[in-house]
Amino acid sequence: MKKYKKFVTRFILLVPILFVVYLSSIYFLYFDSRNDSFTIKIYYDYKENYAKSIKSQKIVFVSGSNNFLGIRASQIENYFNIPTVNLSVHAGLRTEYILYKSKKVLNKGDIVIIPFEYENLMFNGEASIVKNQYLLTYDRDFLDKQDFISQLKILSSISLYNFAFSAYDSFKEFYSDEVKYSYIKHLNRNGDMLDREKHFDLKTKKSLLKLLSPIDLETEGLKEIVKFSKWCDNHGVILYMSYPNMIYRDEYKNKIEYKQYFTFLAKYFNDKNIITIGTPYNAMYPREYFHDSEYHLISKASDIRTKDFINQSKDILIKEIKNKK
Amino acid sequence: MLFNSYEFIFIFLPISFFIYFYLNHKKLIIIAKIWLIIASLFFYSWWNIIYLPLILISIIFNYKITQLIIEYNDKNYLSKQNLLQIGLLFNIGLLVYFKYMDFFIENINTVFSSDIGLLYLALPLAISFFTLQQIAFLIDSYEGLVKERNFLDYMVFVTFFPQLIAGPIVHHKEMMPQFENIRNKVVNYKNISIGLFIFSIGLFKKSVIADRFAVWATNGFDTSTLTLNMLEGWVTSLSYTFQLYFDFSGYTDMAIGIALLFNIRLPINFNSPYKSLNIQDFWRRWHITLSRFLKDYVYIPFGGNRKGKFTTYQNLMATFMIAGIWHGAGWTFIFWGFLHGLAIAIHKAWSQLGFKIWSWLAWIITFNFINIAWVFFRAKEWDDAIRVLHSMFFGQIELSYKFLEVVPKLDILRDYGVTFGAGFSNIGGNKEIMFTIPIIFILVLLIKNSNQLIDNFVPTKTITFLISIIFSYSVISFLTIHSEFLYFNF
Repeated sequence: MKKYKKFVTRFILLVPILFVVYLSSIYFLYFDSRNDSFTIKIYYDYKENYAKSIKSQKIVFVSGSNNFLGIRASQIENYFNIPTVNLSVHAGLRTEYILYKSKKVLNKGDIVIIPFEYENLMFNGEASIVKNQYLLTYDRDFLDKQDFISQLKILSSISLYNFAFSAYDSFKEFYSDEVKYSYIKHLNRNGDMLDREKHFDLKTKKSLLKLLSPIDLETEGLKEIVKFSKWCDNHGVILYMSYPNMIYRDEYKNKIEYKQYFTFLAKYFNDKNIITIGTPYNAMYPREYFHDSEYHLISKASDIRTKDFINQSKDILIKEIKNKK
Repeated sequence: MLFNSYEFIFIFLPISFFIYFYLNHKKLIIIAKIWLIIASLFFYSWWNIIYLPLILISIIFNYKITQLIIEYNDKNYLSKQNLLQIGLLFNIGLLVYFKYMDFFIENINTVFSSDIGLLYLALPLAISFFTLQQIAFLIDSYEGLVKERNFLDYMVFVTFFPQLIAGPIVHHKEMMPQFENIRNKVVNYKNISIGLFIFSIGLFKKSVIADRFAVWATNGFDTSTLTLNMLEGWVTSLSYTFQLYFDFSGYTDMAIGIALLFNIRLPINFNSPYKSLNIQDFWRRWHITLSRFLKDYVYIPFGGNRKGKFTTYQNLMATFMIAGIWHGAGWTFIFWGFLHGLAIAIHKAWSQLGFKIWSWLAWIITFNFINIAWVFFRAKEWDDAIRVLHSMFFGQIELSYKFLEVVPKLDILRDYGVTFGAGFSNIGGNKEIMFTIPIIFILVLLIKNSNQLIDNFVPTKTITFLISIIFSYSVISFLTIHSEFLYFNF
């Protein structure tokens, strides 16, 4: 019986030790060396720098990569004659964090336009490994502000596999200025992604958008947008929602569940007094317009998308810009 | 309260355990029993207290009826058989009302084009399990196999929290002697060690394995807009096949482990079912306590195999269709039961003819039949089942374009109808799926199952270290993924 008593004692002692060792190792040692975090960081730094340098009223596009490679802020800037920033980077950072980042560059009188990916509109609190890896690597401030349980969740989302790579890579030299430049050279001053000319047939062969059940669920993502809308009201920022550029499929027009979902979104924003620009169908384009995913437009198509967006938004935006000037 | 939750593992379980043994240590045996009942009812009410009265009514009614049966004498107005019939009617009625009423109404509306409103009753947690357990007790009492005269003991028997929600379905005669045994009233480190060991394995099965497969199964089954290619179809069905096994056997391992902490041995419920070489073998290894119930209280009372071949097959079909509908109110469940009944009948006929086939072929046929039948069991609608099955057999063979990037020569496969595109990416990560499924096949087919691990358990330092890692990693895993057990829905 003694050996069993020892087993129980050791187990009870070992478990908390393993917990603490594992989670604190991740907290103190983990960094994302192989995934998107580094590019997210340099893109954000670059875009925020431009946004912060603008002292007058500006337009800021906030979303994930659909808009990074979608609406051209530079062309919007030229057309409306107002500084415009493409602050969109990566949809995987999820609704709350993307909106949190935007608050850092928004000032009174600014116009913020959000063409969120549907994944962010349907986001309902699921863990995002992209976001968690980024926070652990580059945004400890945000991480430390989270409550204890949220922090534990973030730490626990790092798999042993990723942690092992991180430990292995810590012995290597990463990310020289040359590497940084290799990314930034594809961006214009406004933060638009350039040089994406090629359409990859296989990479854009995607399934239809996955809908939630029930379709009219008020997700965490939608709640975050409503919260953000209130923040905008309190800070004199003008908010417009829009829809992401995405590959057109007949099913989006013909299938009842998609029609219901798009109607729900429009009604939801309307009920919350959030003005939307365009419709989901306005932002859908043929597959050959896309680069390497269902959201990423090739450069020529970005020009088309931007022209279309200007037509959809000019009456609203000109009025808003004049009001402020 | 879920077994895979912090409140259960770190608060409820330690408190229940320590107070139970403290009271027993102080010779407060009855109070310890009351404590166990209170803890179990609290555990049950944690989800939704609204169903607490229902389980209490069910327990009180069944206890009263069995007392009348046990105390029966000739002066009674109702016969012993009448009392049993009333008891069965009550239990089956309760199940029908809460579980099947809307299903019946929907079918009546379809057949007669009527417009009877649905009741939209939420399924009371564990009703399928505690009802079966009490039906078994009622019949055993009628047949004189058990004589329970103590209400507290009966409460403990029905509500004992490790097995209350999703089994194993236990018999009075295998449980109550253990609760009565005075040696089981003291802390037993051997049982605690084995309990922690098997609980950790169950937790790992659920949190690390089943929940991983759950994502892929859900992506494949529940996205009606998704056109699956052939590989995605197979990944979807296999994911559910493994999810269900690791989820339910994980739950059972945890239940067995928790019960062992209280010095109670629950019956085993799984014995490597996917190693089965025929469908009869499968039902000896899968949800063993349900199979036992169906055999003893449905198949044999129907006549079993005593009334000729045709009636035997009829009884088998009926038993399995009841098994199907017990799992859920839907035609897909009934059809799943029908398929299994048919397979058992075919297997019986085949065996009687004396045919034999190679073991490996027998395994392939059995496993694939089980896998395909689970498609009906899992699908929420007929259309989803047909969609997944269609993709498994007639879907486009599409490999990930990344194969082509690595081995350009694979382009030759296009001549054989293979296309290159998303691979499994509609379901989950290509690499992850390609590695996980073969590893799980190896685990399921070659590694010792939980029962064998218990039998061979030795509390060495290495085992302590390994099991502590397994436990800690599982607990960390369910921080990000939090899911209920599949059998809570049945």
